[in-house]
Amino acid sequence: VLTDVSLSLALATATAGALAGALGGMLGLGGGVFLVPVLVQGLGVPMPQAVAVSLTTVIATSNAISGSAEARSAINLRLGFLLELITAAGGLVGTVVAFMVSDRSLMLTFSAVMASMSALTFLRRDMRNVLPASVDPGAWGGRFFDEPTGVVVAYRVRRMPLALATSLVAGVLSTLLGLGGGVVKVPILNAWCGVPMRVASSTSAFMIGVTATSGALIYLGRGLLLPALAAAAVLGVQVGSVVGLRLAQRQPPRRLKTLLSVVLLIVSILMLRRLP
Amino acid sequence: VIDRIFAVSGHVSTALMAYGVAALWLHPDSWWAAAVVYAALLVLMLTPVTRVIVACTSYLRAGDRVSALLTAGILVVIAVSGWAAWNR
Repeated sequence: VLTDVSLSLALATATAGALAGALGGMLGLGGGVFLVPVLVQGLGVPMPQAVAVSLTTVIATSNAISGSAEARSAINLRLGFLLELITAAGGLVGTVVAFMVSDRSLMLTFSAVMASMSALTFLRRDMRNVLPASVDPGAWGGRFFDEPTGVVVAYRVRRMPLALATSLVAGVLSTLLGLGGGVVKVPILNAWCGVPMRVASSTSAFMIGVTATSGALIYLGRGLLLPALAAAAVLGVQVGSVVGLRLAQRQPPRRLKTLLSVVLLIVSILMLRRLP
Repeated sequence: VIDRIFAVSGHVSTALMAYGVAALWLHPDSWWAAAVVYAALLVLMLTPVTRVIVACTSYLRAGDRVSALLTAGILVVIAVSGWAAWNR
Protein backbone atom coordinates (compact mmCIF):
# COMPACT_ATOMS: atom_id res chain seq x y z
CA VAL A 1 0.00 0.00 0.00
CA LEU A 2 1.28 3.46 -0.94
CA THR A 3 1.79 5.76 2.06
CA ASP A 4 3.82 8.72 0.73
CA VAL A 5 2.88 11.00 -2.14
CA SER A 6 5.77 12.66 -3.99
CA LEU A 7 5.31 16.01 -5.71
CA SER A 8 5.79 14.43 -9.15
CA LEU A 9 3.13 11.77 -8.41
CA ALA A 10 0.71 14.45 -7.18
CA LEU A 11 1.30 16.59 -10.28
CA ALA A 12 0.85 13.63 -12.62
CA THR A 13 -2.34 12.64 -10.78
CA ALA A 14 -3.65 16.22 -10.97
CA THR A 15 -3.00 16.22 -14.74
CA ALA A 16 -4.82 12.90 -15.17
CA GLY A 17 -7.65 14.32 -13.02
CA ALA A 18 -7.85 17.39 -15.27
CA LEU A 19 -8.28 15.14 -18.32
CA ALA A 20 -10.98 13.11 -16.54
CA GLY A 21 -12.72 16.36 -15.51
CA ALA A 22 -12.61 17.74 -19.05
CA LEU A 23 -14.16 14.52 -20.40
CA GLY A 24 -16.81 14.73 -17.69
CA GLY A 25 -17.59 18.35 -18.54
CA MET A 26 -17.92 17.65 -22.23
CA LEU A 27 -19.40 14.15 -22.37
CA GLY A 28 -20.80 13.32 -18.92
CA LEU A 29 -18.30 10.53 -18.30
CA GLY A 30 -16.67 10.02 -14.90
CA GLY A 31 -13.26 9.38 -16.43
CA GLY A 32 -12.55 6.38 -14.18
CA VAL A 33 -12.06 4.20 -17.22
CA PHE A 34 -8.96 6.30 -18.05
CA LEU A 35 -7.85 7.33 -14.58
CA VAL A 36 -7.55 3.84 -13.07
CA PRO A 37 -5.19 2.46 -15.79
CA VAL A 38 -3.11 5.69 -15.67
CA LEU A 39 -2.73 5.47 -11.89
CA VAL A 40 -2.08 1.71 -11.77
CA GLN A 41 0.01 1.09 -14.88
CA GLY A 42 1.48 4.54 -15.42
CA LEU A 43 2.14 5.77 -11.88
CA GLY A 44 2.39 2.53 -9.89
CA VAL A 45 -0.48 3.22 -7.50
CA PRO A 46 -1.92 -0.04 -6.03
CA MET A 47 -5.33 -0.98 -7.47
CA PRO A 48 -7.55 -0.37 -4.38
CA GLN A 49 -6.02 3.05 -3.81
CA ALA A 50 -6.36 3.91 -7.51
CA VAL A 51 -10.04 2.92 -7.43
CA ALA A 52 -10.52 5.05 -4.29
CA VAL A 53 -8.97 8.09 -5.99
CA SER A 54 -11.00 7.41 -9.14
CA LEU A 55 -14.29 7.27 -7.20
CA THR A 56 -13.41 10.55 -5.49
CA THR A 57 -12.72 12.23 -8.83
CA VAL A 58 -16.01 10.89 -10.22
CA ILE A 59 -17.80 12.67 -7.35
CA ALA A 60 -15.73 15.82 -7.92
CA THR A 61 -16.60 15.80 -11.63
CA SER A 62 -20.26 15.26 -10.82
CA ASN A 63 -20.31 18.08 -8.24
CA ALA A 64 -18.50 20.50 -10.53
CA ILE A 65 -20.88 19.83 -13.42
CA SER A 66 -24.15 19.70 -11.52
CA GLY A 67 -23.16 22.88 -9.67
CA SER A 68 -22.58 24.84 -12.86
CA ALA A 69 -25.37 27.02 -14.21
CA GLU A 70 -24.74 25.79 -17.78
CA ALA A 71 -25.35 22.13 -16.97
CA ARG A 72 -28.00 22.61 -14.28
CA SER A 73 -30.60 23.79 -16.74
CA ALA A 74 -30.08 20.65 -18.83
CA ILE A 75 -30.17 18.07 -16.03
CA ASN A 76 -33.35 15.97 -16.10
CA LEU A 77 -33.56 14.97 -12.42
CA ARG A 78 -36.73 12.91 -12.74
CA LEU A 79 -35.36 10.79 -15.59
CA GLY A 80 -31.97 10.63 -13.88
CA PHE A 81 -33.43 9.34 -10.61
CA LEU A 82 -35.48 6.67 -12.39
CA LEU A 83 -32.48 5.43 -14.36
CA GLU A 84 -30.27 5.63 -11.27
CA LEU A 85 -32.64 3.40 -9.32
CA ILE A 86 -32.48 0.78 -12.08
CA THR A 87 -28.68 1.16 -12.31
CA ALA A 88 -28.37 0.56 -8.58
CA ALA A 89 -30.55 -2.55 -8.91
CA GLY A 90 -28.27 -3.65 -11.77
CA GLY A 91 -25.32 -3.21 -9.43
CA LEU A 92 -26.88 -5.67 -7.02
CA VAL A 93 -27.59 -8.10 -9.91
CA GLY A 94 -23.91 -7.73 -10.84
CA THR A 95 -22.79 -9.10 -7.48
CA VAL A 96 -24.79 -12.29 -8.21
CA VAL A 97 -23.75 -12.58 -11.88
CA ALA A 98 -20.07 -12.05 -11.00
CA PHE A 99 -19.66 -15.72 -10.11
CA MET A 100 -21.21 -16.99 -13.35
CA VAL A 101 -19.31 -15.05 -16.03
CA SER A 102 -15.58 -15.22 -16.73
CA ASP A 103 -13.66 -11.94 -16.76
CA ARG A 104 -12.41 -12.62 -20.26
CA SER A 105 -15.82 -13.15 -21.88
CA LEU A 106 -17.25 -10.19 -20.00
CA MET A 107 -14.47 -7.85 -21.13
CA LEU A 108 -14.71 -9.12 -24.71
CA THR A 109 -18.47 -8.49 -24.75
CA PHE A 110 -18.05 -5.02 -23.23
CA SER A 111 -15.33 -4.14 -25.73
CA ALA A 112 -17.53 -5.26 -28.65
CA VAL A 113 -20.50 -3.26 -27.28
CA MET A 114 -18.34 -0.13 -26.89
CA ALA A 115 -17.01 -0.48 -30.45
CA SER A 116 -20.57 -0.87 -31.79
CA MET A 117 -21.75 2.16 -29.81
CA SER A 118 -18.82 4.16 -31.10
CA ALA A 119 -19.86 3.35 -34.68
CA LEU A 120 -23.52 4.05 -33.89
CA THR A 121 -22.76 7.42 -32.27
CA PHE A 122 -20.60 8.39 -35.23
CA LEU A 123 -23.24 7.38 -37.78
CA ARG A 124 -25.98 9.27 -35.89
CA ARG A 125 -23.90 12.36 -35.16
CA ASP A 126 -26.12 14.60 -37.27
CA MET A 127 -29.34 13.57 -35.54
CA ARG A 128 -30.65 16.22 -33.10
CA ASN A 129 -33.28 15.16 -30.62
CA VAL A 130 -34.76 18.61 -30.10
CA LEU A 131 -38.33 19.78 -30.78
CA PRO A 132 -39.95 23.23 -30.67
CA ALA A 133 -40.50 24.46 -27.09
CA SER A 134 -44.29 24.41 -27.61
CA VAL A 135 -44.32 20.60 -27.94
CA ASP A 136 -45.48 18.69 -24.84
CA PRO A 137 -42.36 16.90 -23.52
CA GLY A 138 -44.37 14.12 -21.85
CA ALA A 139 -43.82 12.65 -18.41
CA TRP A 140 -40.06 12.06 -18.71
CA GLY A 141 -38.94 14.67 -21.24
CA GLY A 142 -38.21 18.34 -20.65
CA ARG A 143 -37.07 21.70 -21.99
CA PHE A 144 -33.72 23.49 -21.90
CA PHE A 145 -31.92 26.46 -23.40
CA ASP A 146 -30.05 25.28 -26.50
CA GLU A 147 -26.85 27.33 -26.70
CA PRO A 148 -25.95 26.67 -30.39
CA THR A 149 -29.40 27.81 -31.65
CA GLY A 150 -30.06 30.37 -28.87
CA VAL A 151 -33.63 29.21 -28.17
CA VAL A 152 -35.45 27.07 -25.60
CA VAL A 153 -36.15 23.61 -27.02
CA ALA A 154 -38.11 20.55 -25.87
CA TYR A 155 -37.41 16.83 -26.10
CA ARG A 156 -39.38 13.64 -25.49
CA VAL A 157 -37.97 10.40 -24.14
CA ARG A 158 -38.66 7.52 -26.53
CA ARG A 159 -38.16 3.77 -26.08
CA MET A 160 -38.29 3.93 -22.29
CA PRO A 161 -37.92 0.12 -21.89
CA LEU A 162 -34.59 0.35 -23.75
CA ALA A 163 -33.42 3.19 -21.48
CA LEU A 164 -34.33 1.09 -18.41
CA ALA A 165 -32.63 -2.04 -19.80
CA THR A 166 -29.51 -0.01 -20.59
CA SER A 167 -29.43 1.33 -17.06
CA LEU A 168 -29.71 -2.20 -15.67
CA VAL A 169 -26.82 -3.37 -17.89
CA ALA A 170 -24.79 -0.28 -16.90
CA GLY A 171 -25.29 -1.18 -13.23
CA VAL A 172 -24.20 -4.80 -13.82
CA LEU A 173 -21.10 -3.67 -15.74
CA SER A 174 -20.36 -1.06 -13.10
CA THR A 175 -20.11 -3.79 -10.46
CA LEU A 176 -18.30 -6.33 -12.63
CA LEU A 177 -15.75 -4.01 -14.24
CA GLY A 178 -15.52 -1.14 -11.77
CA LEU A 179 -16.71 1.46 -14.29
CA GLY A 180 -19.18 4.31 -14.01
CA GLY A 181 -22.37 3.88 -16.00
CA GLY A 182 -21.98 7.03 -18.12
CA VAL A 183 -19.97 5.37 -20.83
CA VAL A 184 -22.92 3.00 -21.51
CA LYS A 185 -25.90 5.26 -20.79
CA VAL A 186 -24.99 8.48 -22.62
CA PRO A 187 -24.66 6.95 -26.15
CA ILE A 188 -27.84 4.84 -25.86
CA LEU A 189 -29.95 7.66 -24.42
CA ASN A 190 -28.79 9.98 -27.16
CA ALA A 191 -28.85 7.65 -30.15
CA TRP A 192 -32.04 5.68 -29.45
CA CYS A 193 -34.07 7.25 -26.68
CA GLY A 194 -34.51 10.79 -28.00
CA VAL A 195 -32.47 12.52 -25.27
CA PRO A 196 -30.35 15.43 -26.57
CA MET A 197 -26.60 15.08 -26.07
CA ARG A 198 -26.39 17.94 -23.55
CA VAL A 199 -29.21 16.56 -21.43
CA ALA A 200 -27.83 12.99 -21.55
CA SER A 201 -24.32 14.09 -20.55
CA SER A 202 -25.43 16.55 -17.80
CA THR A 203 -27.91 14.08 -16.29
CA SER A 204 -25.35 11.29 -16.44
CA ALA A 205 -22.70 13.53 -14.83
CA PHE A 206 -25.03 14.27 -11.92
CA MET A 207 -25.97 10.63 -11.36
CA ILE A 208 -22.45 9.15 -11.51
CA GLY A 209 -21.63 11.16 -8.39
CA VAL A 210 -24.54 9.60 -6.53
CA THR A 211 -23.47 6.12 -7.70
CA ALA A 212 -19.88 6.62 -6.56
CA THR A 213 -20.70 8.00 -3.10
CA SER A 214 -21.14 4.81 -1.06
CA GLY A 215 -18.00 3.22 -2.54
CA ALA A 216 -15.88 6.32 -1.95
CA LEU A 217 -17.03 6.65 1.67
CA ILE A 218 -16.16 3.00 2.29
CA TYR A 219 -12.65 3.44 0.88
CA LEU A 220 -12.24 6.57 3.02
CA GLY A 221 -13.49 4.74 6.12
CA ARG A 222 -11.13 1.80 5.54
CA GLY A 223 -8.13 4.13 5.21
CA LEU A 224 -7.46 3.20 1.57
CA LEU A 225 -7.89 6.74 0.31
CA LEU A 226 -4.63 8.69 0.29
CA PRO A 227 -5.83 12.21 1.14
CA ALA A 228 -3.00 14.08 -0.59
CA LEU A 229 -3.33 12.00 -3.77
CA ALA A 230 -7.12 12.28 -3.85
CA ALA A 231 -6.95 16.03 -3.21
CA ALA A 232 -4.43 16.50 -6.04
CA ALA A 233 -6.71 14.56 -8.41
CA VAL A 234 -9.78 16.52 -7.29
CA LEU A 235 -8.04 19.87 -7.81
CA GLY A 236 -7.12 18.70 -11.33
CA VAL A 237 -10.75 17.69 -11.92
CA GLN A 238 -11.99 21.13 -10.82
CA VAL A 239 -9.83 22.82 -13.45
CA GLY A 240 -10.56 20.22 -16.16
CA SER A 241 -14.33 20.23 -15.67
CA VAL A 242 -14.53 24.03 -15.97
CA VAL A 243 -12.56 23.87 -19.22
CA GLY A 244 -14.66 20.91 -20.43
CA LEU A 245 -17.95 22.67 -19.69
CA ARG A 246 -16.89 25.86 -21.47
CA LEU A 247 -15.68 23.87 -24.47
CA ALA A 248 -18.91 21.85 -24.58
CA GLN A 249 -21.01 25.02 -24.59
CA ARG A 250 -19.27 26.32 -27.68
CA GLN A 251 -19.12 23.08 -29.64
CA PRO A 252 -21.89 21.97 -31.96
CA PRO A 253 -23.46 18.64 -30.84
CA ARG A 254 -22.08 16.99 -33.99
CA ARG A 255 -18.51 17.61 -32.82
CA LEU A 256 -19.27 16.38 -29.28
CA LYS A 257 -20.77 13.20 -30.68
CA THR A 258 -17.71 12.63 -32.85
CA LEU A 259 -15.54 13.05 -29.73
CA LEU A 260 -17.76 10.64 -27.80
CA SER A 261 -17.43 8.15 -30.62
CA VAL A 262 -13.61 8.40 -30.48
CA VAL A 263 -13.63 8.05 -26.67
CA LEU A 264 -15.83 4.94 -26.89
CA LEU A 265 -13.47 3.41 -29.42
CA ILE A 266 -10.49 4.10 -27.12
CA VAL A 267 -12.37 2.54 -24.19
CA SER A 268 -13.05 -0.52 -26.36
CA ILE A 269 -9.36 -0.84 -27.26
CA LEU A 270 -8.23 -0.26 -23.64
CA MET A 271 -10.56 -3.03 -22.50
CA LEU A 272 -9.11 -5.43 -25.11
CA ARG A 273 -5.61 -4.61 -23.88
CA ARG A 274 -6.59 -5.46 -20.30
CA LEU A 275 -7.81 -8.94 -21.32
CA PRO A 276 -6.45 -11.61 -18.97
CA VAL B 1 -30.83 29.66 -2.51
CA ILE B 2 -30.10 25.92 -2.28
CA ASP B 3 -28.13 26.00 -5.53
CA ARG B 4 -26.08 28.89 -4.15
CA ILE B 5 -25.39 26.97 -0.95
CA PHE B 6 -24.15 24.02 -3.01
CA ALA B 7 -22.00 26.32 -5.15
CA VAL B 8 -20.49 27.98 -2.06
CA SER B 9 -19.86 24.60 -0.37
CA GLY B 10 -18.08 23.48 -3.56
CA HIS B 11 -15.80 26.53 -3.49
CA VAL B 12 -15.14 26.13 0.24
CA SER B 13 -14.31 22.45 -0.23
CA THR B 14 -11.90 23.25 -3.10
CA ALA B 15 -10.22 26.06 -1.14
CA LEU B 16 -9.85 23.83 1.94
CA MET B 17 -8.41 21.06 -0.19
CA ALA B 18 -5.86 23.33 -1.88
CA TYR B 19 -4.89 24.81 1.50
CA GLY B 20 -4.67 21.36 3.12
CA VAL B 21 -2.54 19.89 0.32
CA ALA B 22 -0.13 22.84 0.45
CA ALA B 23 0.04 22.55 4.25
CA LEU B 24 0.66 18.79 4.02
CA TRP B 25 3.69 19.34 1.82
CA LEU B 26 5.08 22.02 4.10
CA HIS B 27 4.31 20.07 7.30
CA PRO B 28 3.99 16.37 6.32
CA ASP B 29 3.38 15.20 9.91
CA SER B 30 0.85 17.86 10.80
CA TRP B 31 -2.44 16.37 12.01
CA TRP B 32 -4.40 19.56 11.37
CA ALA B 33 -3.33 19.71 7.71
CA ALA B 34 -4.51 16.09 7.26
CA ALA B 35 -7.72 16.95 9.12
CA VAL B 36 -8.39 19.88 6.75
CA VAL B 37 -7.96 17.62 3.69
CA TYR B 38 -10.18 14.92 5.23
CA ALA B 39 -12.86 17.51 6.04
CA ALA B 40 -12.77 18.85 2.47
CA LEU B 41 -13.02 15.30 1.07
CA LEU B 42 -16.00 14.55 3.32
CA VAL B 43 -17.82 17.71 2.18
CA LEU B 44 -17.11 16.69 -1.42
CA MET B 45 -18.34 13.11 -0.95
CA LEU B 46 -21.52 14.01 0.90
CA THR B 47 -22.63 16.65 -1.63
CA PRO B 48 -24.34 14.29 -4.17
CA VAL B 49 -26.36 12.52 -1.45
CA THR B 50 -27.31 15.89 0.05
CA ARG B 51 -28.57 16.94 -3.37
CA VAL B 52 -30.73 13.81 -3.57
CA ILE B 53 -32.16 14.51 -0.08
CA VAL B 54 -32.90 18.12 -1.06
CA ALA B 55 -34.55 16.95 -4.29
CA CYS B 56 -36.64 14.42 -2.35
CA THR B 57 -37.97 17.08 0.05
CA SER B 58 -38.65 19.46 -2.87
CA TYR B 59 -40.68 16.77 -4.65
CA LEU B 60 -42.63 16.05 -1.46
CA ARG B 61 -43.41 19.75 -1.03
CA ALA B 62 -44.52 20.00 -4.66
CA GLY B 63 -46.75 16.94 -4.23
CA ASP B 64 -44.85 14.88 -6.83
CA ARG B 65 -45.03 11.58 -4.99
CA VAL B 66 -43.61 9.44 -7.83
CA SER B 67 -40.38 11.46 -8.00
CA ALA B 68 -40.16 11.63 -4.19
CA LEU B 69 -40.48 7.84 -4.05
CA LEU B 70 -37.76 7.45 -6.71
CA THR B 71 -35.33 9.67 -4.79
CA ALA B 72 -36.12 7.96 -1.49
CA GLY B 73 -35.56 4.60 -3.24
CA ILE B 74 -32.12 5.76 -4.39
CA LEU B 75 -31.16 6.73 -0.84
CA VAL B 76 -32.25 3.30 0.41
CA VAL B 77 -30.32 1.50 -2.35
CA ILE B 78 -27.18 3.59 -1.66
CA ALA B 79 -27.42 2.73 2.03
CA VAL B 80 -27.98 -0.99 1.34
CA SER B 81 -25.18 -1.28 -1.24
CA GLY B 82 -22.83 0.66 1.09
CA TRP B 83 -23.69 -1.66 3.95
CA ALA B 84 -23.23 -4.76 1.72
CA ALA B 85 -19.87 -3.53 0.42
CA TRP B 86 -18.66 -2.70 3.92
CA ASN B 87 -19.48 -6.23 5.12
CA ARG B 88 -18.12 -8.04 2.03
